[in-house]
This record gives sequence, structure tokens and C-alpha cells, in this order.
Amino acid sequence: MKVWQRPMARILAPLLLPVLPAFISSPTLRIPLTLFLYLVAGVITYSIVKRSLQAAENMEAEIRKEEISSFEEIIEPIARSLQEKTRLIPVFTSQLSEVIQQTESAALNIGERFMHIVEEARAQSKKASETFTGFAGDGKGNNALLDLSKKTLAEVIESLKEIAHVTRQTLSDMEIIIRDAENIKSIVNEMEYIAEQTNLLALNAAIEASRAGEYGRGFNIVAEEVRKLSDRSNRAAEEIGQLITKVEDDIKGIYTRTQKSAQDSNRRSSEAEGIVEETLRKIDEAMHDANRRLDELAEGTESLAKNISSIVVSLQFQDITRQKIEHVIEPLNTFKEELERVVAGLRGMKERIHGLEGSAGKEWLEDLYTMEEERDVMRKVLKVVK
Amino acid sequence: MSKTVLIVDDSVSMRQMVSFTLRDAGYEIVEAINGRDALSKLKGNRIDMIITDLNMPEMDGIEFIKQLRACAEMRFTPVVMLTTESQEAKKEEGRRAGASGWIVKPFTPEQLVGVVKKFVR
Repeated sequence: MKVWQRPMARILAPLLLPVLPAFISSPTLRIPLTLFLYLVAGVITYSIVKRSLQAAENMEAEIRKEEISSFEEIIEPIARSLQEKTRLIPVFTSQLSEVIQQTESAALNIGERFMHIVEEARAQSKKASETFTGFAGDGKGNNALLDLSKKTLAEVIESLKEIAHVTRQTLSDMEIIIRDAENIKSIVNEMEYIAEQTNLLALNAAIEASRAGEYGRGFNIVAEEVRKLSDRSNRAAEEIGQLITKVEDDIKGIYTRTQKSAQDSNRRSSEAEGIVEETLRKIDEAMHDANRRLDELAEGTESLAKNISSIVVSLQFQDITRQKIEHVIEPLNTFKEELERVVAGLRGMKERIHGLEGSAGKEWLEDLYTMEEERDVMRKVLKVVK
Repeated sequence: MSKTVLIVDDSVSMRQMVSFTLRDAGYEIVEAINGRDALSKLKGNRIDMIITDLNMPEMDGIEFIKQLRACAEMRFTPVVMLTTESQEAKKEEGRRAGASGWIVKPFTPEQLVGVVKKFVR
């Protein structure tokens, strides 16, 4: 709007234009007119300043309204986004809790399996030891298979030695019998000699009896009977001699065979003893070796148990990670609460801003402000008519 | 007669691991899942030593030790804290509550058995 089109200009222009020549030509009118013009200028200036202030206030209110509107446009997406993100936090914490449960379950499972391996290894080692003890004995004379076998072999060797001893004794007895047979034979020879002498005596007695004639007939008969007895004695002696010789031959034959058998038996016994001793020595070596291997097995088992124990103990990493994850979950829950408070705060702020435009907000501010000046500003901004 | 150790930990894998190591070393084991459970397990069991975690639900290790020490017959039972906390402040808190010692996780089987042997012979 042009200056001359304004209401004040329209009023002043018809008044001032007629007096303008008098103002120029008359000095008496110049002073009151000047004063009057000052007054008019002051009124115009006041009017312009007032209008400008009003325009500025209006502009400020518009700007504030736009700011509030744009602030709302900013707040709402942030609040919505924060709320959506906040809803995700329980998802994250649940995922982390699931990780804790799964790792704990896995660690437990691994631990149990490793412990089972140790138990199995120990059971195997014990079983091997018991099997060996059952076979080889415990060294305390218990009736293990090997102890019994060794005992039986030793008894066999003893039996063989006993047989050899008995055979030697038999041979010795047979030698005595052979010597006795020789003695019997000499006795038989003596008997034959006696029989021959008796026969000779009987013959001489018969000759002497025949020389005595009739008186010697009875004696001749006796001599004949003696001769017969002598013959029978001689025959008996011969038979005994033959029998003794036969018995002697038989015994010598048995002696020779027995002697040979004894020699064979002795040789075999010595060989068997050697073989058994060698076998027992080898068995002892094998047992010693097996014992050593069993000790190694036991040591290996214990070493395995120790290593597995270390593995099981190293599973405590799960507990450490669990605590670390819990240390993440805990702040996440706190963040969630904080974010919920922030969202609530933002929403509350929006409501308050909206409220400012309504009567509730105005009343609230009226109550809040303690100075009239504050209330004036508020009314001015909100364009409240008192 | 073998000695009995009470293990207090909310982690089942930790209890399993400590039990396995100590059983292997010839100790009898009683397990509890937190301080409250441990106090109930003390009744009816002859306990020679206690190994406890610190961070547990319902009743934590520090509170458990305090309540344990308030009990006349458990005043001198060795209590070792099993914890990832290596800070002096936490150790001091446990010591003030009445703990005899501590083992910082992770530890080796030898360390665990060594500490137990130190308290229980």
C-alpha cells in the first residue's frame, strides 16, 4: 500500500494542502503549522511503528507455528523409529539368552561325553588288568591259569625225575638179584659136587658091599639108594642151575633194557626239563612284557584322563562367555527402559505442544506461570484474547 | 574316609566340570544351584569345604558366605570363591564376608585340586 493511499494520508492531505501556501507566505502561521506538522509526523510515525511491530509479532507467531509443525514432523518419525527399535531389543536379548542356553547345553554334552570316554578307558584298562591277572596270576600264588600251568609243568618234571630215580633203584635191585643168582649158581655147583661125591661114595660102598658078600647085601641096597638120591640131587641141581641161568639171563635182559630205558628216560627228562625251563623263562618274559604293557596302558589311560580333565575344565569358557553375554543383556534391558522413557518423553512433548494450542494447554501454562508478564507473552504468542 | 566338597554354581556345566575334576581327585561332591539351595544342602550333609560362584540368582555368593558365617558350626569351614572377577574390590568384599580364598576363572584342573588340597587334607 502506498503512503498516500493510507487512511491517515487521506485525512491529512485535504487539511494540509490548503494551508501549505499560507505556511510558506505567513510567518505567524509558520510556528503553529510547524508544531502541527510535528504532531502529524509523530502520529504517523507511531502508527507505522505500531503496525510494523504488529507485523513482526504476527510473523514471529507464524514462524513459531511452522517451527512447531516441523518439530512435530521431526519428533514423530524419531519416536516411531525409536519405539520400533526398542521393540527389537527383547528379540536381541532373547537371541542372546538362546545362545547361552545352547552353548551351556553343548558344553554339558561335550563334558559328559568326555567323562564317558575317561570312564570307558579306565574300565578297559581295569578289564585288561583283570584278564591278565586271571591268566598270569597276581604273583601271590592264586590259582591263575598260568600259575597252574607252571605248577603242572613243574610236577611233570618232578614225576620224570621220580621215574628216573625209581628206574635207577630198580637197576640197583636187579644188580643185587643178578649177584644173588651168581651166588645161587655157585651153591648149585656145590650141590652138584656133593651129588657127584655122594654118587662116588655110593659106588665105593657098593663095591665094598659086594666084597663083603652075603653080609654086605643090605649095605649094597643102601648104597644103591644113596646113589639114586645122588643122581636125583645132581639132576635137581642141574635143573636149578639151568633155571637160575635162565632167570639170570632174563634178568640181565631186563636189566639191559631197563638200563637203556633209564638212559633214554634220563635224557628225555633232562631235555624236557630244559624245554620246560626255557618255556617257563619265555612265559615269564612274556608276562613281564605284558605287565609292562599293562602299566603303559594304565599310564596312558591316566594321561588320557588328565588331558580330558583339562578339556572338560577348559569348557568353563562357556561360563565366562555366559557371564559376558549376560553383561550385554543387562545393559540392553536398561537401554530398552531408557529408550521407552525417551519415546514416552517425545510423545509427551508432542502432546504438550498440541495441548498448548488447546484450552487445556493454556490453562496448564496459566497455572504454571507465576508472573503476569509470562502470561502476556504466552497469550501474545497463542493469540489468546483476555 | 574321603572328604566332601559342596559346589555352589548356577551354571550346570561349571558344576559338572568342577565335580568331575574333584571326584577324579578322590573327593565326594554335593552340588547346589545358588546360595539358598546351598544353605539347605548343608543340613544333613557333612561338608568339609565349599566352592562357590559369586554371581547367582536368588542368593549370590557374598550373601551366602555371610549367612554361612552367621551359622556357628560353619564358621570355620573353608569357603573358596570361584569367579571371573579378578578385581581386588570383589576379592576384598568376599574376604570381608568370610571367604577363605578364591580361584579366578579360567583355571586348570591342577590349580583347582591344588587349592582344595590346601584347605582339605
